Amino acid sequence: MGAATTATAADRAKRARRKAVRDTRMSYLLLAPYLVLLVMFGIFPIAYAFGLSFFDTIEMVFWGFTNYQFVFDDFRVPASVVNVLAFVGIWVTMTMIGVAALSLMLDSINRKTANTLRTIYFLPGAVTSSAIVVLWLFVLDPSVSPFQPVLHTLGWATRADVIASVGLAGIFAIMAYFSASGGWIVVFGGALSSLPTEVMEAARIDGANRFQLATRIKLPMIWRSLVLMGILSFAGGLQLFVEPQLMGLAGPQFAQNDWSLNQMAFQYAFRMGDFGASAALSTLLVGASIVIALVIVFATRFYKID
Amino acid sequence: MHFKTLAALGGLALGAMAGPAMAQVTLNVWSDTPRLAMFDLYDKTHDNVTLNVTTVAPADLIAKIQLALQAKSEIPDVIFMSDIGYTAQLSTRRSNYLMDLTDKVPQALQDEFYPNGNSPCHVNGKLLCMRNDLAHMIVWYDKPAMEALGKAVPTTWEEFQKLGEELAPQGLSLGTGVEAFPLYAMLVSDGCDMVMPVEGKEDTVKIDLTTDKCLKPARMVDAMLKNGSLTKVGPFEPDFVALAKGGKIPLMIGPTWFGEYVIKPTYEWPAGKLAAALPLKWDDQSQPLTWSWGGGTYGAWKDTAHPAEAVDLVTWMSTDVANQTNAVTLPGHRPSAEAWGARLASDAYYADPNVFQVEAEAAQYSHPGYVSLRFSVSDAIAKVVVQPLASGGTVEGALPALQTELTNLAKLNGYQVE
Repeated sequence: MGAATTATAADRAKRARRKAVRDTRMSYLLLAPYLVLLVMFGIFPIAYAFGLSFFDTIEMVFWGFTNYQFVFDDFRVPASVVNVLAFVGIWVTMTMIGVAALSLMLDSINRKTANTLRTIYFLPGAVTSSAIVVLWLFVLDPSVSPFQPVLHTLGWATRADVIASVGLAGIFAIMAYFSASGGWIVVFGGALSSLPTEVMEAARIDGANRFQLATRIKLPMIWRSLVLMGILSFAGGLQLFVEPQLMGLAGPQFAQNDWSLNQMAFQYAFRMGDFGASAALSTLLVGASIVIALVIVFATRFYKID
Repeated sequence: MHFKTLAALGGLALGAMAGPAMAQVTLNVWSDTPRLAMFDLYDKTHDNVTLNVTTVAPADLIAKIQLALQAKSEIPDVIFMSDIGYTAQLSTRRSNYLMDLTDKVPQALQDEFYPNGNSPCHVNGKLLCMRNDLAHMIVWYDKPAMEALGKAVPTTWEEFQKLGEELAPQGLSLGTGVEAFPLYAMLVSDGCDMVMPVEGKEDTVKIDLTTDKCLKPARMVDAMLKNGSLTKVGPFEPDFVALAKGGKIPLMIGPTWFGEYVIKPTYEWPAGKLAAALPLKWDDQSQPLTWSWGGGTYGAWKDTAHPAEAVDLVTWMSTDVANQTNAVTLPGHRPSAEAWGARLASDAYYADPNVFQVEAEAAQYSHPGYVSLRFSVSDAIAKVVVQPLASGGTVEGALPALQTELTNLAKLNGYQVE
């Protein structure tokens, strides 16, 4: 009897181990397509650019830090660092506040209406960012905008007035906010609806009104996700390219060919044919993003399970 | 002698016999949309060559060539370049694409171009492209409107400014003050050294925006922007188009292609209105000095498998009279331009049959400094001069910043700055 029990237990343990191995294998199998794509379009290009950044790409001779030197010596680079940081600062602040406020408000109203509104908020995100830019170029032109009276009230008669007053960083932040925040609002809708109902009930019984419920109970519970969104937006914002690149569509006097760092990398490669300098600048950008990722993982202990 | 002639005859006979079986050459061509019909005509009239034409957005041309050069495949044999800067940008160590045509295009044919017509194609003494069309600035005006106003068409910049002053109170203006190219054209009209090539020195430019030759036009633009005689919107913005359609712009400075390409189709001026006059000069100048805005060029790939055919295509596109007669823009090749002008003279659209004569005469005043550069001066003007205008800046006030920007850009792109 006793022996039989031991045998069964050992069997069970063995079976569990085998199942664990099978599960691990299965998870790798399921991950495989992603990993293959990650290596092909993520890791390989980064490694390739990293290598290229130390070479003269015409004669293929080792150049050491010459390409990096070229980038640091380019007078446009410091200006574009300032531009990009200004954009990221405005955009991340708008996203954090806007998404949190809208998500919490949507969570405190009737579910059906909230779902409809969420879908509407998501719609601009389904439009590609290049189309969003073109759309906004019309919205911000006082002579054709559907919001003409608003723009005129603010004393703006031409598109140049709007740009001068709001600033390019602000305009790109508005464009990026409307294309990206809808998706986050949907994500936070999910996060908020999965909060334990008993906590909400308890708060309500204790007399918390909707506003207190949102700011004192729900906000602290989703805080970490908000920080994650902020940091991911920051890393994404450093890669700003489409918005300034397409400004020229409004007319050559609005063109911004060297506004952001990514545009500079593009200019090096595709205007000057200097793929080495472009690789050097891109490597620096990837470096910044990796540092930010490490900050997420370690400083906020993001993956720690409570 | 006899033997040679015989051999030549024999060769001819052989050639004639081999004609139908002659190797078919396919050339890959990258064109913009307006040039498609012209390439098509070449394809139809040349049995030995087949053109494989791809339409490329003009602004993407350089990027796509860089990619093709990097990939070492799908490199076009012949290209149309809508921006004269592309010639310099496609003949550097890092993007070495263009074929040197100096010895491949007969000098006699080169001499058939208008003066300075091919200057955007000469880079450091080599001919790297052939000009399709001229694009120098002239005066475009609404003849009946000017007559109704009782105003004479100005011949000097001083008169132009005065006319603006008189018309501004009536809500009329004389074109834009914020589009980079017209602004550029006004700023260099008195010989301002705004990135001008230095004769006899390779890769050397002169940049000096502190002289009176620069300050005088800058002050004129500032005054005209202030009193509203130059608009604060660019010529393709909806507000400007509305003004132009509504008869609020009786006269403007514009390139030769503005008539056929902008005023007729976009501003929709009805027939019997549009006329042209010679470019303006300053009182102290003996003759006008006029800048250009555009004017495309053709270039060939230096490593093409079919150099003879590629050169023939470039030459034919830019100089074949039958082809250029129907072009939308004023040909740079004089015999073609004359045939083109004859067509224009019979066009009832113009209020003045002499539009072509004016354009052709103006060509001789074309600025010799309108050459191909590896960076864009007009982009720098848009960034440093035009954008601050909206927040209360002035053109004159922006000149020092422009000087810094241009000097930095020139050095970054490997120029010596004097």
